[in-house]
Amino acid sequence: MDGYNAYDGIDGDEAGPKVTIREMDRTTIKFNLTNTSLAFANSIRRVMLAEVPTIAIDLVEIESNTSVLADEFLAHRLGLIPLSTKGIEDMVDPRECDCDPICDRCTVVLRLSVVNRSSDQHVKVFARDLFVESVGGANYNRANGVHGTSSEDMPPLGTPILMDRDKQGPLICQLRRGQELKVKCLAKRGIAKEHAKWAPTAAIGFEYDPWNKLRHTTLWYETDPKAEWPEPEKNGQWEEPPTGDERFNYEAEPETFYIDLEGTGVMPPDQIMHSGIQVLQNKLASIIRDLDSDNQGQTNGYDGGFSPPMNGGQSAYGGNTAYGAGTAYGQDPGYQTPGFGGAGATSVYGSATPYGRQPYP
Amino acid sequence: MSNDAEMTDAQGGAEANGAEEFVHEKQRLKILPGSSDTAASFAFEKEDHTLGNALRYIIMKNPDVEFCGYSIPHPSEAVMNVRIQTWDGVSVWDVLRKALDDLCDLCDVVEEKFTKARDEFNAEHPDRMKKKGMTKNKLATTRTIQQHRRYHEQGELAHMKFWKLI
Ligand SMILES: [Zn+2]
Repeated sequence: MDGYNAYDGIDGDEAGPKVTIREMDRTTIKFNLTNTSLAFANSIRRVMLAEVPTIAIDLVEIESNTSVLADEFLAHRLGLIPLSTKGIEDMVDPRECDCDPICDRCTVVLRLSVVNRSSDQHVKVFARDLFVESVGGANYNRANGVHGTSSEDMPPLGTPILMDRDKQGPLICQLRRGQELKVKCLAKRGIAKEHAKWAPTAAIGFEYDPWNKLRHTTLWYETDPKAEWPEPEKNGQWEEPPTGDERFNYEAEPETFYIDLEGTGVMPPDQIMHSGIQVLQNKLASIIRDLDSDNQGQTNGYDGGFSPPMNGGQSAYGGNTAYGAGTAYGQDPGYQTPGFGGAGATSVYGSATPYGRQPYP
Repeated sequence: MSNDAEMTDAQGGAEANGAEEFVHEKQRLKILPGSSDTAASFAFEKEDHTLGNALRYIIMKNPDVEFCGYSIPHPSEAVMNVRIQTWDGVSVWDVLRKALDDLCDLCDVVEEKFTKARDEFNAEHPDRMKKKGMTKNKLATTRTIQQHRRYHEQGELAHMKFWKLI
Protein backbone atom coordinates (compact mmCIF):
# COMPACT_ATOMS: atom_id res chain seq x y z
CA MET A 1 0.00 0.00 0.00
CA ASP A 2 2.99 2.31 0.43
CA GLY A 3 3.53 2.90 -3.23
CA TYR A 4 0.03 4.21 -3.48
CA ASN A 5 0.65 7.22 -1.34
CA ALA A 6 3.81 8.09 -3.19
CA TYR A 7 1.54 9.62 -5.78
CA ASP A 8 0.61 12.29 -3.30
CA GLY A 9 3.83 14.11 -4.07
CA ILE A 10 2.58 15.78 -7.21
CA ASP A 11 1.13 19.10 -6.28
CA GLY A 12 -1.18 21.80 -7.51
CA ASP A 13 -4.67 22.93 -6.71
CA GLU A 14 -5.59 22.62 -10.35
CA ALA A 15 -5.52 18.89 -10.05
CA GLY A 16 -8.76 17.25 -9.13
CA PRO A 17 -12.25 17.85 -10.37
CA LYS A 18 -13.63 21.17 -11.51
CA VAL A 19 -17.16 22.41 -11.83
CA THR A 20 -18.21 25.18 -14.20
CA ILE A 21 -21.81 26.29 -14.12
CA ARG A 22 -23.13 27.35 -17.49
CA GLU A 23 -26.74 28.15 -16.69
CA MET A 24 -29.02 27.93 -13.73
CA ASP A 25 -32.66 28.68 -13.08
CA ARG A 26 -35.48 27.51 -10.86
CA THR A 27 -35.59 23.98 -12.20
CA THR A 28 -32.41 23.47 -14.15
CA ILE A 29 -28.64 23.58 -13.78
CA LYS A 30 -26.30 23.14 -16.71
CA PHE A 31 -22.73 22.56 -15.67
CA ASN A 32 -19.46 21.05 -16.79
CA LEU A 33 -17.76 18.52 -14.59
CA THR A 34 -14.08 18.32 -15.48
CA ASN A 35 -11.19 16.09 -14.43
CA THR A 36 -13.28 13.19 -13.30
CA SER A 37 -13.64 9.76 -14.70
CA LEU A 38 -16.53 8.57 -16.78
CA ALA A 39 -17.24 5.98 -14.10
CA PHE A 40 -17.64 8.54 -11.35
CA ALA A 41 -19.57 11.07 -13.43
CA ASN A 42 -21.95 8.33 -14.47
CA SER A 43 -22.42 7.24 -10.87
CA ILE A 44 -23.50 10.76 -10.01
CA ARG A 45 -25.88 10.82 -12.96
CA ARG A 46 -27.40 7.48 -12.03
CA VAL A 47 -27.78 8.31 -8.38
CA MET A 48 -29.51 11.62 -9.14
CA LEU A 49 -31.87 9.91 -11.56
CA ALA A 50 -32.89 7.00 -9.42
CA GLU A 51 -31.92 7.25 -5.78
CA VAL A 52 -32.56 10.73 -4.44
CA PRO A 53 -35.40 10.48 -1.94
CA THR A 54 -38.49 12.61 -2.60
CA ILE A 55 -42.14 12.46 -1.60
CA ALA A 56 -45.11 11.33 -3.67
CA ILE A 57 -48.64 10.11 -3.09
CA ASP A 58 -48.41 6.39 -2.52
CA LEU A 59 -51.77 5.31 -1.11
CA VAL A 60 -55.17 6.69 -2.02
CA GLU A 61 -58.34 6.06 -0.07
CA ILE A 62 -61.29 6.81 -2.26
CA GLU A 63 -64.29 7.90 -0.27
CA SER A 64 -66.32 8.88 -3.26
CA ASN A 65 -65.57 8.88 -6.95
CA THR A 66 -68.43 9.44 -9.36
CA SER A 67 -66.20 10.97 -12.02
CA VAL A 68 -65.66 9.24 -15.34
CA LEU A 69 -62.20 8.10 -14.31
CA ALA A 70 -61.67 4.72 -12.66
CA ASP A 71 -60.35 4.69 -9.10
CA GLU A 72 -57.00 3.18 -10.00
CA PHE A 73 -56.62 5.55 -12.91
CA LEU A 74 -57.10 8.46 -10.53
CA ALA A 75 -54.73 6.96 -7.98
CA HIS A 76 -52.08 6.70 -10.64
CA ARG A 77 -52.56 10.32 -11.67
CA LEU A 78 -52.40 11.48 -8.08
CA GLY A 79 -49.14 9.60 -7.57
CA LEU A 80 -47.51 11.56 -10.36
CA ILE A 81 -48.29 14.99 -8.91
CA PRO A 82 -45.07 16.73 -7.88
CA LEU A 83 -44.99 17.51 -4.15
CA SER A 84 -42.58 19.77 -2.32
CA THR A 85 -39.61 17.96 -0.79
CA LYS A 86 -38.75 20.65 1.69
CA GLY A 87 -37.41 18.95 4.79
CA ILE A 88 -37.51 15.50 3.18
CA GLU A 89 -34.26 14.57 4.93
CA ASP A 90 -36.13 14.49 8.23
CA MET A 91 -38.92 12.33 6.88
CA VAL A 92 -38.76 8.69 7.89
CA ASP A 93 -38.88 5.98 5.27
CA PRO A 94 -42.32 4.36 5.64
CA ARG A 95 -40.79 0.88 5.74
CA GLU A 96 -38.51 1.85 8.58
CA CYS A 97 -41.08 3.68 10.64
CA ASP A 98 -42.36 1.71 13.61
CA CYS A 99 -45.78 3.32 13.70
CA ASP A 100 -49.05 1.59 12.90
CA PRO A 101 -50.39 2.30 10.37
CA ILE A 102 -49.18 5.86 9.77
CA CYS A 103 -47.74 8.78 11.68
CA ASP A 104 -46.65 12.28 10.82
CA ARG A 105 -43.00 11.32 10.71
CA CYS A 106 -43.50 9.05 7.71
CA THR A 107 -46.69 10.27 6.05
CA VAL A 108 -48.19 13.48 4.78
CA VAL A 109 -51.95 13.32 4.32
CA LEU A 110 -53.53 15.27 1.49
CA ARG A 111 -57.24 15.63 0.97
CA LEU A 112 -59.15 16.33 -2.19
CA SER A 113 -62.83 17.11 -2.05
CA VAL A 114 -64.58 18.54 -5.09
CA VAL A 115 -68.20 18.39 -6.24
CA ASN A 116 -69.92 19.86 -9.26
CA ARG A 117 -73.34 20.61 -7.82
CA SER A 118 -74.99 22.71 -10.43
CA SER A 119 -72.70 23.87 -13.21
CA ASP A 120 -73.16 22.84 -16.80
CA GLN A 121 -69.52 23.74 -17.27
CA HIS A 122 -67.12 20.97 -16.35
CA VAL A 123 -65.42 21.63 -13.07
CA LYS A 124 -61.69 21.10 -13.45
CA VAL A 125 -59.86 19.53 -10.55
CA PHE A 126 -56.26 20.68 -10.26
CA ALA A 127 -53.36 19.78 -8.01
CA ARG A 128 -53.91 23.06 -6.19
CA ASP A 129 -57.15 21.59 -4.85
CA LEU A 130 -55.18 19.11 -2.75
CA PHE A 131 -54.87 20.25 0.81
CA VAL A 132 -52.16 19.13 3.16
CA GLU A 133 -53.45 17.86 6.44
CA SER A 134 -51.29 16.60 9.24
CA VAL A 135 -52.01 13.06 10.32
CA GLY A 136 -53.48 14.11 13.63
CA GLY A 137 -55.97 16.35 11.91
CA ALA A 138 -54.60 19.47 13.56
CA ASN A 139 -52.55 22.06 11.73
CA TYR A 140 -54.78 22.19 8.75
CA ASN A 141 -52.83 24.57 6.62
CA ARG A 142 -53.76 25.79 3.21
CA ALA A 143 -51.55 24.73 0.39
CA ASN A 144 -49.64 27.05 -1.90
CA GLY A 145 -46.73 27.91 0.30
CA VAL A 146 -48.32 30.09 2.93
CA HIS A 147 -45.65 28.88 5.29
CA GLY A 148 -42.76 29.44 2.91
CA THR A 149 -40.98 31.79 5.24
CA SER A 150 -37.74 29.92 5.88
CA SER A 151 -34.53 30.21 3.94
CA GLU A 152 -35.89 28.10 1.14
CA ASP A 153 -38.56 29.31 -1.22
CA MET A 154 -40.09 25.88 -1.31
CA PRO A 155 -43.57 25.37 0.13
CA PRO A 156 -43.91 22.97 3.09
CA LEU A 157 -43.31 19.26 2.72
CA GLY A 158 -45.93 17.49 0.64
CA THR A 159 -47.53 20.62 -0.80
CA PRO A 160 -48.27 20.32 -4.53
CA ILE A 161 -45.81 22.24 -6.70
CA LEU A 162 -47.61 24.75 -8.90
CA MET A 163 -45.36 26.02 -11.64
CA ASP A 164 -47.80 27.34 -14.23
CA ARG A 165 -48.75 30.98 -14.52
CA ASP A 166 -52.17 30.53 -12.92
CA LYS A 167 -50.77 28.42 -10.08
CA GLN A 168 -53.17 25.58 -10.76
CA GLY A 169 -50.77 22.69 -11.09
CA PRO A 170 -51.52 19.58 -13.14
CA LEU A 171 -55.11 18.80 -14.09
CA ILE A 172 -56.31 15.70 -12.25
CA CYS A 173 -59.77 15.24 -13.77
CA GLN A 174 -62.97 17.06 -14.76
CA LEU A 175 -66.40 16.74 -13.17
CA ARG A 176 -69.78 16.99 -14.86
CA ARG A 177 -72.85 18.19 -13.04
CA GLY A 178 -73.58 15.93 -10.10
CA GLN A 179 -70.19 14.24 -10.06
CA GLU A 180 -68.06 14.17 -6.96
CA LEU A 181 -64.51 13.36 -6.02
CA LYS A 182 -63.51 12.83 -2.42
CA VAL A 183 -60.19 11.17 -1.65
CA LYS A 184 -57.61 10.93 1.07
CA CYS A 185 -54.04 10.62 -0.19
CA LEU A 186 -51.11 9.33 1.83
CA ALA A 187 -47.84 10.76 0.55
CA LYS A 188 -44.69 8.83 1.44
CA ARG A 189 -41.00 9.13 1.00
CA GLY A 190 -39.43 7.00 -1.72
CA ILE A 191 -36.91 6.79 -4.54
CA ALA A 192 -37.30 6.61 -8.31
CA LYS A 193 -35.71 3.18 -8.39
CA GLU A 194 -38.96 1.90 -6.96
CA HIS A 195 -41.32 4.11 -8.95
CA ALA A 196 -40.62 6.97 -11.35
CA LYS A 197 -43.10 9.19 -9.54
CA TRP A 198 -40.37 9.73 -6.94
CA ALA A 199 -37.89 11.05 -9.50
CA PRO A 200 -36.61 14.53 -8.64
CA THR A 201 -35.42 14.98 -12.21
CA ALA A 202 -37.35 15.33 -15.42
CA ALA A 203 -34.21 14.53 -17.40
CA ILE A 204 -30.45 14.59 -17.11
CA GLY A 205 -28.47 15.46 -20.21
CA PHE A 206 -25.08 13.81 -20.12
CA GLU A 207 -22.51 14.31 -22.85
CA TYR A 208 -18.78 13.99 -23.22
CA ASP A 209 -16.36 14.30 -26.10
CA PRO A 210 -18.71 16.31 -28.35
CA TRP A 211 -16.36 16.00 -31.32
CA ASN A 212 -16.18 12.23 -30.95
CA LYS A 213 -12.40 12.30 -30.87
CA LEU A 214 -12.37 9.22 -28.67
CA ARG A 215 -14.55 7.42 -31.20
CA HIS A 216 -16.82 6.03 -28.54
CA THR A 217 -19.54 6.25 -31.12
CA THR A 218 -19.63 5.47 -34.79
CA LEU A 219 -21.31 8.03 -37.01
CA TRP A 220 -23.29 6.47 -39.79
CA TYR A 221 -22.79 8.12 -43.16
CA GLU A 222 -23.44 7.80 -46.88
CA THR A 223 -20.18 9.10 -48.27
CA ASP A 224 -18.65 11.66 -45.90
CA PRO A 225 -19.53 11.92 -42.18
CA LYS A 226 -18.14 15.47 -41.97
CA ALA A 227 -20.44 16.77 -44.65
CA GLU A 228 -23.49 14.89 -43.48
CA TRP A 229 -23.35 15.41 -39.70
CA PRO A 230 -23.93 18.82 -38.13
CA GLU A 231 -21.29 20.26 -35.83
CA PRO A 232 -21.96 19.66 -32.15
CA GLU A 233 -23.57 23.00 -31.46
CA LYS A 234 -24.53 22.23 -27.89
CA ASN A 235 -21.20 21.60 -26.19
CA GLY A 236 -18.78 21.61 -29.09
CA GLN A 237 -17.48 25.12 -28.32
CA TRP A 238 -15.98 23.87 -25.06
CA GLU A 239 -13.50 21.66 -26.82
CA GLU A 240 -11.10 22.06 -29.72
CA PRO A 241 -12.51 20.68 -32.93
CA PRO A 242 -10.34 18.03 -34.52
CA THR A 243 -8.04 19.31 -37.23
CA GLY A 244 -8.51 16.16 -39.18
CA ASP A 245 -4.89 15.20 -39.60
CA GLU A 246 -3.99 14.28 -36.01
CA ARG A 247 -3.40 10.67 -35.17
CA PHE A 248 -5.84 8.83 -33.00
CA ASN A 249 -4.85 9.18 -29.37
CA TYR A 250 -5.51 5.75 -27.95
CA GLU A 251 -4.56 6.86 -24.46
CA ALA A 252 -7.09 9.67 -24.24
CA GLU A 253 -9.95 9.29 -21.82
CA PRO A 254 -13.10 11.34 -21.38
CA GLU A 255 -12.57 13.97 -18.73
CA THR A 256 -15.15 16.69 -19.25
CA PHE A 257 -18.82 15.95 -18.82
CA TYR A 258 -21.58 18.30 -19.89
CA ILE A 259 -24.47 17.78 -17.55
CA ASP A 260 -27.91 19.34 -18.01
CA LEU A 261 -29.72 18.64 -14.79
CA GLU A 262 -33.41 19.30 -15.23
CA GLY A 263 -35.55 19.06 -12.12
CA THR A 264 -39.30 18.62 -11.89
CA GLY A 265 -39.63 21.48 -9.43
CA VAL A 266 -40.05 19.33 -6.32
CA MET A 267 -36.48 20.10 -5.33
CA PRO A 268 -34.13 22.89 -6.40
CA PRO A 269 -31.62 21.51 -8.93
CA ASP A 270 -28.57 22.20 -6.78
CA GLN A 271 -30.25 20.29 -3.98
CA ILE A 272 -30.67 17.32 -6.31
CA MET A 273 -26.94 17.32 -6.90
CA HIS A 274 -26.21 17.60 -3.17
CA SER A 275 -28.64 14.86 -2.26
CA GLY A 276 -27.27 12.65 -5.03
CA ILE A 277 -23.75 12.93 -3.71
CA GLN A 278 -25.01 12.32 -0.24
CA VAL A 279 -26.80 9.15 -1.28
CA LEU A 280 -23.62 7.96 -2.93
CA GLN A 281 -21.63 8.68 0.22
CA ASN A 282 -24.20 6.90 2.35
CA LYS A 283 -23.77 3.83 0.17
CA LEU A 284 -20.03 3.95 0.72
CA ALA A 285 -20.42 4.60 4.43
CA SER A 286 -22.70 1.63 4.90
CA ILE A 287 -20.21 -0.66 3.20
CA ILE A 288 -17.36 0.75 5.24
CA ARG A 289 -19.51 0.02 8.27
CA ASP A 290 -19.98 -3.54 7.06
CA LEU A 291 -16.26 -3.90 6.59
CA ASP A 292 -15.52 -2.56 10.05
CA SER A 293 -18.18 -4.57 11.82
CA ASP A 294 -16.97 -7.66 10.07
CA ASN A 295 -13.99 -8.23 12.35
CA GLN A 296 -13.75 -11.74 11.18
CA GLY A 297 -13.25 -10.57 7.67
CA GLN A 298 -10.55 -8.19 8.74
CA THR A 299 -8.59 -10.57 10.88
CA ASN A 300 -9.45 -13.91 9.50
CA GLY A 301 -9.72 -12.96 5.88
CA TYR A 302 -11.74 -15.16 3.66
CA ASP A 303 -12.79 -17.65 6.25
CA GLY A 304 -15.43 -15.41 7.62
CA GLY A 305 -18.03 -13.36 6.10
CA PHE A 306 -19.72 -15.29 3.40
CA SER A 307 -23.07 -16.88 3.40
CA PRO A 308 -22.66 -20.51 2.69
CA PRO A 309 -23.94 -21.43 -0.72
CA MET A 310 -27.20 -23.24 -0.94
CA ASN A 311 -28.06 -26.62 -2.37
CA GLY A 312 -24.58 -27.59 -3.30
CA GLY A 313 -24.35 -25.28 -6.21
CA GLN A 314 -27.03 -26.93 -8.27
CA SER A 315 -28.34 -23.62 -9.55
CA ALA A 316 -28.29 -22.53 -13.12
CA TYR A 317 -25.03 -20.86 -12.31
CA GLY A 318 -23.65 -24.07 -10.95
CA GLY A 319 -20.20 -25.45 -11.04
CA ASN A 320 -18.54 -23.71 -13.93
CA THR A 321 -18.61 -20.05 -13.15
CA ALA A 322 -15.60 -17.81 -13.13
CA TYR A 323 -15.12 -18.40 -9.45
CA GLY A 324 -15.97 -21.99 -9.78
CA ALA A 325 -14.30 -25.24 -9.16
CA GLY A 326 -12.24 -25.36 -12.29
CA THR A 327 -10.50 -22.07 -11.77
CA ALA A 328 -7.31 -21.23 -10.05
CA TYR A 329 -9.15 -19.77 -7.11
CA GLY A 330 -11.45 -22.63 -6.55
CA GLN A 331 -11.15 -24.16 -3.15
CA ASP A 332 -14.81 -24.87 -3.08
CA PRO A 333 -16.98 -26.28 -5.75
CA GLY A 334 -18.23 -23.47 -7.87
CA TYR A 335 -20.88 -21.29 -6.52
CA GLN A 336 -21.61 -17.96 -7.95
CA THR A 337 -23.86 -15.73 -6.03
CA PRO A 338 -24.77 -16.98 -2.64
CA GLY A 339 -28.40 -17.72 -2.43
CA PHE A 340 -28.87 -18.98 -5.93
CA GLY A 341 -30.85 -22.07 -6.62
CA GLY A 342 -33.26 -23.83 -4.39
CA ALA A 343 -36.11 -22.62 -2.30
CA GLY A 344 -36.58 -18.92 -1.98
CA ALA A 345 -36.66 -19.27 1.75
CA THR A 346 -32.97 -19.98 1.88
CA SER A 347 -31.89 -17.17 -0.42
CA VAL A 348 -29.78 -14.33 0.84
CA TYR A 349 -32.91 -12.24 0.87
CA GLY A 350 -34.82 -14.74 2.88
CA SER A 351 -34.82 -14.74 6.62
CA ALA A 352 -33.21 -18.14 6.95
CA THR A 353 -29.62 -17.10 6.57
CA PRO A 354 -28.31 -14.74 9.13
CA TYR A 355 -24.84 -14.28 7.76
CA GLY A 356 -22.63 -17.26 7.98
CA ARG A 357 -24.61 -19.52 10.22
CA GLN A 358 -25.80 -22.30 8.04
CA PRO A 359 -23.60 -25.34 7.81
CA TYR A 360 -22.34 -26.53 4.51
CA PRO A 361 -24.60 -28.93 2.70
CA MET B 1 -15.16 -31.98 5.60
CA SER B 2 -12.54 -29.64 6.85
CA ASN B 3 -15.18 -27.00 6.60
CA ASP B 4 -16.45 -27.97 9.99
CA ALA B 5 -13.75 -26.04 11.77
CA GLU B 6 -14.38 -23.03 9.62
CA MET B 7 -18.04 -23.07 10.34
CA THR B 8 -17.47 -23.07 14.06
CA ASP B 9 -15.38 -19.99 13.55
CA ALA B 10 -17.92 -18.32 11.39
CA GLN B 11 -20.69 -19.09 13.78
CA GLY B 12 -18.82 -17.78 16.77
CA GLY B 13 -17.75 -14.79 14.82
CA ALA B 14 -21.18 -13.90 13.61
CA GLU B 15 -22.37 -13.60 17.15
CA ALA B 16 -19.28 -12.05 18.63
CA ASN B 17 -18.48 -9.56 15.94
CA GLY B 18 -21.25 -7.28 16.91
CA ALA B 19 -23.63 -8.09 14.08
CA GLU B 20 -26.41 -7.50 16.55
CA GLU B 21 -25.22 -3.96 17.16
CA PHE B 22 -25.96 -3.21 13.54
CA VAL B 23 -29.32 -4.83 13.38
CA HIS B 24 -30.77 -1.74 11.78
CA GLU B 25 -28.89 -2.57 8.63
CA LYS B 26 -28.20 -6.02 7.32
CA GLN B 27 -24.72 -6.98 6.29
CA ARG B 28 -24.65 -6.24 2.57
CA LEU B 29 -21.07 -7.18 1.85
CA LYS B 30 -20.09 -10.79 1.49
CA ILE B 31 -16.97 -12.53 0.34
CA LEU B 32 -17.41 -15.36 -2.10
CA PRO B 33 -15.97 -18.83 -1.63
CA GLY B 34 -12.53 -19.51 -3.00
CA SER B 35 -11.16 -16.14 -2.05
CA SER B 36 -7.75 -15.56 -0.55
CA ASP B 37 -6.11 -12.54 1.04
CA THR B 38 -4.75 -11.29 -2.25
CA ALA B 39 -7.40 -12.48 -4.67
CA ALA B 40 -10.97 -12.21 -3.60
CA SER B 41 -14.47 -11.79 -4.94
CA PHE B 42 -16.97 -9.76 -3.01
CA ALA B 43 -20.72 -9.75 -3.38
CA PHE B 44 -22.46 -6.46 -2.71
CA GLU B 45 -26.14 -6.90 -2.06
CA LYS B 46 -28.53 -4.30 -3.43
CA GLU B 47 -25.86 -2.54 -5.41
CA ASP B 48 -25.53 -2.04 -9.15
CA HIS B 49 -23.49 -0.17 -11.76
CA THR B 50 -23.83 3.03 -9.75
CA LEU B 51 -21.40 1.75 -7.16
CA GLY B 52 -19.81 -1.03 -9.18
CA ASN B 53 -18.22 0.93 -11.98
CA ALA B 54 -17.00 3.78 -9.80
CA LEU B 55 -15.54 1.34 -7.30
CA ARG B 56 -13.90 -0.71 -10.02
CA TYR B 57 -12.38 2.45 -11.44
CA ILE B 58 -10.97 3.68 -8.18
CA ILE B 59 -9.62 0.27 -7.22
CA MET B 60 -7.85 0.01 -10.56
CA LYS B 61 -6.16 3.34 -9.78
CA ASN B 62 -4.35 1.66 -6.93
CA PRO B 63 -0.92 0.53 -8.16
CA ASP B 64 -1.02 -2.44 -5.79
CA VAL B 65 -3.91 -3.87 -7.72
CA GLU B 66 -3.24 -6.39 -10.44
CA PHE B 67 -6.83 -6.79 -11.52
CA CYS B 68 -10.23 -5.45 -10.66
CA GLY B 69 -13.52 -6.05 -12.37
CA TYR B 70 -17.17 -6.04 -11.49
CA SER B 71 -20.21 -7.83 -12.76
CA ILE B 72 -23.89 -8.18 -12.16
CA PRO B 73 -24.35 -11.93 -12.46
CA HIS B 74 -28.08 -11.84 -13.02
CA PRO B 75 -30.30 -8.88 -13.90
CA SER B 76 -33.14 -9.92 -11.64
CA GLU B 77 -30.97 -10.40 -8.61
CA ALA B 78 -29.84 -7.22 -6.87
CA VAL B 79 -26.27 -8.38 -6.38
CA MET B 80 -23.09 -6.88 -7.72
CA ASN B 81 -19.80 -8.77 -7.60
CA VAL B 82 -16.36 -7.22 -7.45
CA ARG B 83 -13.18 -9.18 -8.07
CA ILE B 84 -9.91 -7.84 -6.71
CA GLN B 85 -6.43 -9.32 -7.21
CA THR B 86 -3.41 -7.62 -5.75
CA TRP B 87 0.36 -7.65 -6.19
CA ASP B 88 2.95 -8.50 -3.55
CA GLY B 89 0.67 -9.91 -0.93
CA VAL B 90 -1.25 -6.70 -0.37
CA SER B 91 -4.51 -7.43 1.37
CA VAL B 92 -7.67 -7.07 -0.67
CA TRP B 93 -9.40 -5.79 2.44
CA ASP B 94 -7.03 -2.85 2.65
CA VAL B 95 -7.48 -2.16 -1.04
CA LEU B 96 -11.25 -2.25 -0.79
CA ARG B 97 -11.29 -0.11 2.31
CA LYS B 98 -9.00 2.44 0.73
CA ALA B 99 -11.09 2.58 -2.43
CA LEU B 100 -14.23 3.27 -0.42
CA ASP B 101 -12.49 6.01 1.51
CA ASP B 102 -11.09 7.54 -1.66
CA LEU B 103 -14.45 7.49 -3.38
CA CYS B 104 -15.97 9.17 -0.36
CA ASP B 105 -13.29 11.86 -0.52
CA LEU B 106 -13.91 12.26 -4.23
CA CYS B 107 -17.55 12.92 -3.43
CA ASP B 108 -16.52 15.52 -0.85
CA VAL B 109 -14.35 17.31 -3.37
CA VAL B 110 -17.00 17.37 -6.08
CA GLU B 111 -19.56 18.52 -3.55
CA GLU B 112 -17.27 21.30 -2.41
CA LYS B 113 -16.40 22.42 -5.93
CA PHE B 114 -20.02 22.33 -6.97
CA THR B 115 -21.13 24.42 -4.01
CA LYS B 116 -18.40 26.94 -4.70
CA ALA B 117 -19.26 27.16 -8.40
CA ARG B 118 -22.93 27.61 -7.56
CA ASP B 119 -22.26 30.40 -5.07
CA GLU B 120 -19.98 32.15 -7.54
CA PHE B 121 -22.60 31.88 -10.23
CA ASN B 122 -25.19 33.33 -7.87
CA ALA B 123 -22.88 36.19 -6.99
CA GLU B 124 -22.35 36.94 -10.65
CA HIS B 125 -26.07 36.88 -11.36
CA PRO B 126 -27.60 38.65 -8.37
CA ASP B 127 -30.76 39.45 -10.30
CA ARG B 128 -31.58 35.79 -10.72
CA MET B 129 -30.81 34.85 -7.19
CA LYS B 130 -34.23 35.71 -5.84
CA LYS B 131 -36.48 33.70 -8.07
CA LYS B 132 -34.22 30.74 -8.19
CA GLY B 133 -35.03 29.29 -4.84
CA MET B 134 -31.53 27.94 -4.43
CA THR B 135 -31.00 26.34 -1.10
CA LYS B 136 -28.41 27.00 1.47
CA ASN B 137 -27.99 23.41 2.21
CA LYS B 138 -24.86 23.55 4.28
CA LEU B 139 -26.72 21.46 6.79
CA ALA B 140 -27.07 18.44 4.59
CA THR B 141 -23.51 18.80 3.41
CA THR B 142 -21.85 19.02 6.78
CA ARG B 143 -23.88 16.13 8.00
CA THR B 144 -22.52 13.93 5.26
CA ILE B 145 -18.97 14.94 5.83
CA GLN B 146 -19.17 14.38 9.56
CA GLN B 147 -20.75 11.05 8.98
CA HIS B 148 -17.97 10.19 6.63
CA ARG B 149 -15.23 11.38 8.93
CA ARG B 150 -16.53 9.04 11.54
CA TYR B 151 -15.77 6.13 9.28
CA HIS B 152 -12.63 7.68 8.09
CA GLU B 153 -9.65 6.52 10.00
CA GLN B 154 -6.80 7.19 7.67
CA GLY B 155 -5.99 10.76 8.44
CA GLU B 156 -3.57 11.22 5.60
CA LEU B 157 -6.45 11.22 3.17
CA ALA B 158 -8.25 14.00 4.92
CA HIS B 159 -6.78 16.67 2.75
CA MET B 160 -7.76 14.89 -0.39
CA LYS B 161 -4.20 14.41 -1.42
CA PHE B 162 -5.20 11.33 -3.25
CA TRP B 163 -6.43 13.66 -5.92
CA LYS B 164 -3.24 13.40 -7.80
CA LEU B 165 -4.25 9.91 -8.67
CA ILE B 166 -7.49 10.75 -10.29
ZN1 LIG C 1 -44.75 6.43 10.78
